[in-house]
Amino acid sequence: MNMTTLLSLSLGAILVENFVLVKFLGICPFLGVSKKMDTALGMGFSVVFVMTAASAATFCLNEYALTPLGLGYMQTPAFILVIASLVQLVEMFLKKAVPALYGALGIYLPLITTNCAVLGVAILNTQKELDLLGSSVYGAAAGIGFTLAIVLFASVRERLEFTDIPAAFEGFPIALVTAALLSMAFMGFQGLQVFK
Amino acid sequence: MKSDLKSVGSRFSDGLIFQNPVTVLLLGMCPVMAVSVSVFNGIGMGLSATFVLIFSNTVISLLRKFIPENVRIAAYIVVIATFVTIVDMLLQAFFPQLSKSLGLFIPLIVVNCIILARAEAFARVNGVFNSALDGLAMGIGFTAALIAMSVVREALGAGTLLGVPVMPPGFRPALLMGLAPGGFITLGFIIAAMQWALNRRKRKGKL
Amino acid sequence: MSDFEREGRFDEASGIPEEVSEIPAETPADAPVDAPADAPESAPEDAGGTEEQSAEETAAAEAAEAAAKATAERLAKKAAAREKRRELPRVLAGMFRNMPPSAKMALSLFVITSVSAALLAATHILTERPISEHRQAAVERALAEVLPGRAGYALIDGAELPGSARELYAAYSYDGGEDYAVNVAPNGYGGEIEMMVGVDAGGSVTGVSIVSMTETAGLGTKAGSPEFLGRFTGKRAGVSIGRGDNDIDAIAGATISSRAVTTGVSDALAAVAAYTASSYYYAEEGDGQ
Repeated sequence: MNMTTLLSLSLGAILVENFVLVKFLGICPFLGVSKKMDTALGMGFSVVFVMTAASAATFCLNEYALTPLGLGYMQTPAFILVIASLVQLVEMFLKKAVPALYGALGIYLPLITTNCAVLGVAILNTQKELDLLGSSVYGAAAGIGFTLAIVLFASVRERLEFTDIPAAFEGFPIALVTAALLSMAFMGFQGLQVFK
Repeated sequence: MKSDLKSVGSRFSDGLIFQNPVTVLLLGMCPVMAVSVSVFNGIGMGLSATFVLIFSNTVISLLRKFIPENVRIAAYIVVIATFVTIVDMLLQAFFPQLSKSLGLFIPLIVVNCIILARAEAFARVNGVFNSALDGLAMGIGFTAALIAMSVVREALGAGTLLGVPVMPPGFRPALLMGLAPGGFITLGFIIAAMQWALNRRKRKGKL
Repeated sequence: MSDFEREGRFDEASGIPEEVSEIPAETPADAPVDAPADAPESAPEDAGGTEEQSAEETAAAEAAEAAAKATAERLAKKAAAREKRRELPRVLAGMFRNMPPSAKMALSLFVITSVSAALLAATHILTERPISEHRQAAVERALAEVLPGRAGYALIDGAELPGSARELYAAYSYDGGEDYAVNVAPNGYGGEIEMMVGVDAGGSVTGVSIVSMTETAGLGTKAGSPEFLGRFTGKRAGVSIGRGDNDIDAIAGATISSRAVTTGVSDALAAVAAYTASSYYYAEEGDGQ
């Protein structure tokens, strides 16, 4: 895996095929934690960390345990268990080390377990047949893409708080329409020739 | 929390309309937007998720006295993941085209918030029959939301429904509807419509 | 109520007191047990026939009573066992409740994961054959499409497979010629596009067939249309999107899908080139001798 491939992989994950705005992975936390900038940023960082660690861990599990034993079909349960344990560890670590952030994120941390983006990137790594470095980089890049999307989105939503919105659209509907516009903007990256 | 002694009918109307998991409880939106590009895919995903919902709710309800509190999420996840993998394998074996179209989103049923939420909120504290029924009702609601989304997106985005052309000949499909922005916007409008209808009902009811 | 209290129930012939337990209560003809006054009176009267009749009847009555006693014992044992069975889950549940929390967590998770693993393994065994059969059928269909009318196809093991090439097949014609087909899976817009590319011995494309694709409906899927795929026929190594002789036109608005298919075809040509370079080398060596 040379530098150029890694770079194009990262650019792909962040811009061209942004996990949230193009691949529809990670919508729940994207819509749920994006009301304020700081929580959005905190969530983003946690996700980057978890996604990178999860990519590495699931790669090792797949490469050294599941595939040699022919247990490929157990991939989903095995991966999700690894991710759940990882999130538990992150939660415990944050509680001790950065209690402020832990308090701010509150219930959203366990939500990272059920964040489709984390399981999604783990499975995509196996589908793309990336090696350990490639998987970790792709995981990190996907997390960065998620953070980019959620931060952009949070800034828009903070502004939306002060505008007049039709009653039926208050809350999620207007957020979704906004996300649609963001997604259209990101479609502009389509022409970027960064694929392998 | 005691078991809900609601009638079967009201449970279904809850699942379908008043507590529709997607448009009211706002859960499970990732697959709804990703998969609703065509009605066939939407129905396939809806039925698969319903299958998993019913079985996982039933098993978790059966085991509810056996699972200790502090490992319950891990236990639920194992149960759900097992049924999802079973569905995945069955689809690959007997409906390979559907399996390919739904692709990544079948294993992602594991993290479909709906299933975990129902396990935590309902199956944990209710009997087996009620839990299974709840699974069925929520699954039907999920499928209904998927069908609503995919009808709009397939008709406007490709001019067909279930592969059959339904638009007048001069119609040029709005391909955007089949892509990411189309998903976001359609769901936004559907939830807005739902909220409007429910608000009206509330206002009328209060009078 | 002791049997000895029932006077007149002594069998004179054998001298053995006839046992009177709950048996009278079970046989419908008899009076209830708490009416002992009646029973002794009727019994001697019944047994008061001739000597032989009395002996037979006694023997029969003994046998019946023994049998009835055995039945009663069996029923009592069954009741006891039932009680124990009912107790067992209660005992187990009690044990479970009194286990230390960590053991409880470990045990319940272990049980759940074991049962899940067993279920998954069972489903896997059930679905393994249909899944591989589907794949096999799809591959054969594609092979027949790009290289029709051949005598046989064979998968070549250990071939060099550059880029998105996955498998290399050789197709043998009736006249002894050998052509190739490569199964490639380039990354398209919506995932992998699995294709079969037929390449003749001279290194030009005979045809392209899509095995599976999940591109954008109506747009990316145009890259799977016969019209587009037909553009590749006759092209040679180095094919790309462009204006040259060995190039093809992409589909407007489906650049990524078109590019993916082109990459796949190019990789297929490269795979065949690599293989023929190696095998012709060895074949020539052999023929030279």
